[in-house]
Amino acid sequence: MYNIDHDDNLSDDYCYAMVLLPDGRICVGTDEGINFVEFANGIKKVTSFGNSQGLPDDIVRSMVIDTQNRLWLGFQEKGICIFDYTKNQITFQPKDISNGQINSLLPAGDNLWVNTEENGILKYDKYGKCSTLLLENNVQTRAIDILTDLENSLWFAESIHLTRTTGDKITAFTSINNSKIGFIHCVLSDRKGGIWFCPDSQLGHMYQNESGKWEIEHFKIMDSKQPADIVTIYEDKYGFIWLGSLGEGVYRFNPLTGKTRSFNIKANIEESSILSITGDNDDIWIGGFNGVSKLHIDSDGYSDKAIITKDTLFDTKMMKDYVYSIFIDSKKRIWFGTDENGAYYLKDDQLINLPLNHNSVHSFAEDQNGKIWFSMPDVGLGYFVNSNINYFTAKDGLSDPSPVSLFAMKNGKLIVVHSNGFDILDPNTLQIIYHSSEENLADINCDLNSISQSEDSTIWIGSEKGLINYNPFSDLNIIEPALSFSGISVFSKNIEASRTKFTHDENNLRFEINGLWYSDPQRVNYTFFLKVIPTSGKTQKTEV
Amino acid sequence: MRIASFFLLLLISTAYGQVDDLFYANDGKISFRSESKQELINASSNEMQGIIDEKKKTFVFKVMIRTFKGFNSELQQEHFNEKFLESEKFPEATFLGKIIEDINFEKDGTFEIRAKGKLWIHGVEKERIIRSTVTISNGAINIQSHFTVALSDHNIKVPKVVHEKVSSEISVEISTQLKKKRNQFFKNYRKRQPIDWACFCNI
Repeated sequence: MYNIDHDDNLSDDYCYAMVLLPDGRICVGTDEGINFVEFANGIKKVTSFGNSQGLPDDIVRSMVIDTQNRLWLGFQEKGICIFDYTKNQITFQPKDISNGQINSLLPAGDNLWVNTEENGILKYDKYGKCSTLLLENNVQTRAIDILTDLENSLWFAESIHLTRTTGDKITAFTSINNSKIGFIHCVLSDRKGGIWFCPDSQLGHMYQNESGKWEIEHFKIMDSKQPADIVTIYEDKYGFIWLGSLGEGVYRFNPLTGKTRSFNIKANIEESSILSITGDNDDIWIGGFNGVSKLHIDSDGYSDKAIITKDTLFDTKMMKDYVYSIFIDSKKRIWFGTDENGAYYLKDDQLINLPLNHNSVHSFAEDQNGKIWFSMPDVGLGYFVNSNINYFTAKDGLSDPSPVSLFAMKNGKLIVVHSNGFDILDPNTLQIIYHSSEENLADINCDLNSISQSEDSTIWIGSEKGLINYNPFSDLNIIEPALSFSGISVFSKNIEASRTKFTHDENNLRFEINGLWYSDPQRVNYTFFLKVIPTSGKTQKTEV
Repeated sequence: MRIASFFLLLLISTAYGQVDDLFYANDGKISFRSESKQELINASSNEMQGIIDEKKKTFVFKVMIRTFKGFNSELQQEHFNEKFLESEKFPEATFLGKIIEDINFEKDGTFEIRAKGKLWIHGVEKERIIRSTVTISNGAINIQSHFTVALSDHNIKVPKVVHEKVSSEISVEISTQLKKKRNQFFKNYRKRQPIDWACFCNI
């Protein structure tokens, strides 16, 4: 055993942190800079590097080696930096985190979690973007240490609390700059990265400013004294935002000028109550209480006065039912989800009905294998492939028999939103990852068009409780709980786990195991498989 | 007892550090301010003691809780001593530690430094790093510092009935001058309670 202190040239005896470097040396952070400790032929060698050699701060409170073997240092006053231990120099210090006390650092994949004393927990991503971990009610943490578990939850320890959060997997935006966000009917992530959403009759826009901080602005869409709720939202190819309301028809909003153009009965749109808007190129499809309308942007698409006409060739009388959703698949088929007549799709001007026993269809999604999935209240999910319809219900593992929204994410998985959270369904394996009340998703009560995916693949869900941001890449990579094995006993007497031989009358064995699934511990099920293997002679071998 | 402490100081000073390296203060000013919804409370003491060892870059400061004056009422002062700080049981507040930055105490100038150490208040220790402005002038060290103390850090409980009158975070200001006139220090030192010198010298 060695003792290394000031007498061995350690710059200071107060040591905060240490890491093992890839070259075998140990790096120690102290009140007087960093020290590299190495041993050769039983002789200790310590070299130090402090403020006088160019370190931004003498007090080095935390340090980690990331996945690229880079050494990150966290200071008492000067934020973080990367220190090149092969050249003994600072190679990078992020501008956004160059001040303040760092309590701990935690590499997680391509991200670095930075636990600060004054500014909460920050995420520094591979693109050099810094964001603050948002916690429920915007509580500010002052954590001593942080940790991620197998489920990618982020834990933080404070002086009197240990808290588990969803980390950057799931973040709820309940207010921005004291402007509350809630009761959202529909959401859209536009091509510029902005998030549009409609609480009641308003149009909200959330965007990140130059420093990465979220800002919010609101637009008034309707002048009427009793404005109607806006329940569906769509961005056309010109960047204009289409809004469908319950009672006041359709609006086309210009984000650059803030001007709104109304399409209602006067504009030859029969439907005043709209439930779904989608589009393809210059075609705009509108579904609502009176079936379906198809509009076409003839010219001047970038203008507030674009020439938009109704396609009279499309026979709206083909469908007199409520149309909850319209979806265009990769084969350019148009799918319609109706209230009482299941689903239709339009192919080569032929409207084909799927026999769904008069079930309502609320939303559609297409997986990467071309399967069309749809959600049905009180049933679950269905999928249409090769002219066959299959069902996927609560019996198959769906957490709620009445999914509200359904969406195919860029990673190939489906997100199925329900009143108390969402399920992530792998359409290939049919395995599900659940996100529910344990992750503050109880009673989110989303509406039909409350889901959208941004260019960077994050999912935005509009809910009663605010805007929920789900980062699929930070979700867990495991689908089974980690198993904690705590012991074996024979007739209630504990035995060594390594024991493999038992006498014929030692036939009462008890295994103590725990499946650890912090995201939803109540959902853990245990399955035991007892296998008897006949062996030669009089003995039998049993495996569990 | 006090005579014994005095000799202990001499002994320790000789054993661990040269007395010539030490700067002393007897009459440092320390004030605190509690600003809450219902009341502003200010109190101060001019009897803060301190020592800095320029060679070892160590320090200790101490103030007797009962020396704080200037409360809004006598009853408030009584509550401060008896209910909040329990000054009979925990008579002093101490800050003891080391200076992080290098300072040339021989040369006049102003420096921003960090004082790192253990802050004892109400018998509860809390490690703190406190930023201070140090001015060296004509052989004296002048220190100005401002920091906050969270009551919860030192287990100081405020009764619910006065919750809105006392802030949970107290603002503290320090202004003191330390000199190498140890005779004067020892003269005054005899009148007061001893600092835990052993801790100081062992830093």
